[in-house]
Amino acid sequence: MSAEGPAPATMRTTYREAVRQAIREALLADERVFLMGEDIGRYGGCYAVSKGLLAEFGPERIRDTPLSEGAYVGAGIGAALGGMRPIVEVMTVNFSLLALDQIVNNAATLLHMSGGQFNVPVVIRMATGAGRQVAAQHSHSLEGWYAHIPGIKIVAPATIEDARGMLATALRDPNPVLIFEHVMLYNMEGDLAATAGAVDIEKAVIRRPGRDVSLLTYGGTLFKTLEAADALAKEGIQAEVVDLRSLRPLDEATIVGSVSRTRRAVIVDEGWKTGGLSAEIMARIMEHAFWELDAPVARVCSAEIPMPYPRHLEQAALPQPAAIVAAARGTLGR
Amino acid sequence: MQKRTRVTCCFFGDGAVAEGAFHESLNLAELWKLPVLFVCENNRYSMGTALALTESETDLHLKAQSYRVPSEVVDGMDVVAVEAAARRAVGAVRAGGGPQFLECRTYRFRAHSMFDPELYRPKAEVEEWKKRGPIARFSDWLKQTGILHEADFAAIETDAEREVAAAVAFAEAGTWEPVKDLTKFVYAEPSP
Repeated sequence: MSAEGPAPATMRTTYREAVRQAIREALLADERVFLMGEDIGRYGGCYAVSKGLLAEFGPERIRDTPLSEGAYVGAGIGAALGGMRPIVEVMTVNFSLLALDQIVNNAATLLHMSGGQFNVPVVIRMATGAGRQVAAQHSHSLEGWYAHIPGIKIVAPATIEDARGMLATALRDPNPVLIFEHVMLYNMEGDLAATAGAVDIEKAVIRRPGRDVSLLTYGGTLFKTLEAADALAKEGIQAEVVDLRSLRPLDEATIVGSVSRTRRAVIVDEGWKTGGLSAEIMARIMEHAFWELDAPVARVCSAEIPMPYPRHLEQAALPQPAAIVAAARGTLGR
Repeated sequence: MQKRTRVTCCFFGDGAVAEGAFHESLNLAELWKLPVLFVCENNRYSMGTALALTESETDLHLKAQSYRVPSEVVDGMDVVAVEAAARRAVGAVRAGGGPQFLECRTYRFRAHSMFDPELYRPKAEVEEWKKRGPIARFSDWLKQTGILHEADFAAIETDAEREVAAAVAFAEAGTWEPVKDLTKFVYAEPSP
């Protein structure tokens, strides 16, 4: 048996490992890149994404920060202005609210306020979403809030391929890019092409084609939605599943194209309904595909409560496949 | 990280000292020995609220010291003293010792903005501080030391007036930004 067989076309990996490899690759490829955040070095990352990177790259490029979201996100913005390509990790989206001033009042506005003189090529990654029983301090899905803000880009990698490929593109983007990684995806296993690399970060992707109803989702609810689509198929309903991937800009063409074909839509979003991203997507459908619709647009979102701690209540608060199936059936009058 | 010798100079007022960002930044700058000169222009009012109504410790430079940032207080109405202190501080930053903090104690003669009726301070206080105005004091010092003479002042004032008048004329003659450019520079191009 030869020791030098052909390299495997795919490898078994996890979402977490894909993010780590994306960071490693960025650090190796560009000396302007560095990573900073809370507990990313010696602790190895709250979600173990950066485990091992301190030993490989040293404390200057893998920087543990104090619990000072405003200061270190601000430092990331400053470093980006100064010619570096920082990756700032915020432990969870809930904690990122302490850095809202820096993200919304500085990163998002500087290019416009300087008449095009100062762009801010910073990448800010954070965990989002519920399911790990870490209660309302750590479990909300506020990416829709960020998608409200002009001047920043918002992406939500749901697949291992996107976890691996979105970071490189985000680092090449001259604008601030926020990457939202759903906490329930980190342990997800799957196959990744050995050649996997940078991917587009502005287009939605149809993960499952179908003709009867469009299920529009992103991030942590993608796989629940695909599960719902499987269940619907058993009932003879062919659901099309659209993974939005980018929350700002929204890929209106793909959304409207899909809904115009299926004439029905269900939006699945772990955020809350009121004033949320699902409301925005509904509005876009009303603006651009109203006359194509055969049924009112439906949505499945989180219960409008602070995320509970007990498992049964947390699960009851979240969008689940059964609710998605029911909503999809509803658009078909079943 | 880029091995540059630049010093970042960060200006803010006494009001900003009450922000969490102030404390986070001083801590991080000292912790990472960043080349930053923090300059606090303490004019005794955060917009319209007196320092004593917003700070438990009104001696602001002590707050920097508590983060181990070397700090100095200087009479912010004394041009020469401010320059000397700033040179010392920048020199210390350049020497690689990390950040420095300079508190310049000063005053604002005019209202905070066009909408400020100045209800929060007595007029007599403003007049008292005007006597210590930095331009007047510096001018007196220049005259006393014989560095400049009356004729020099007249020339400087004429020059300044001409420069301001030219700037105003330039601005007045400018055209407004075209409305079609409203959405320009929201995102830098090109996207990858």
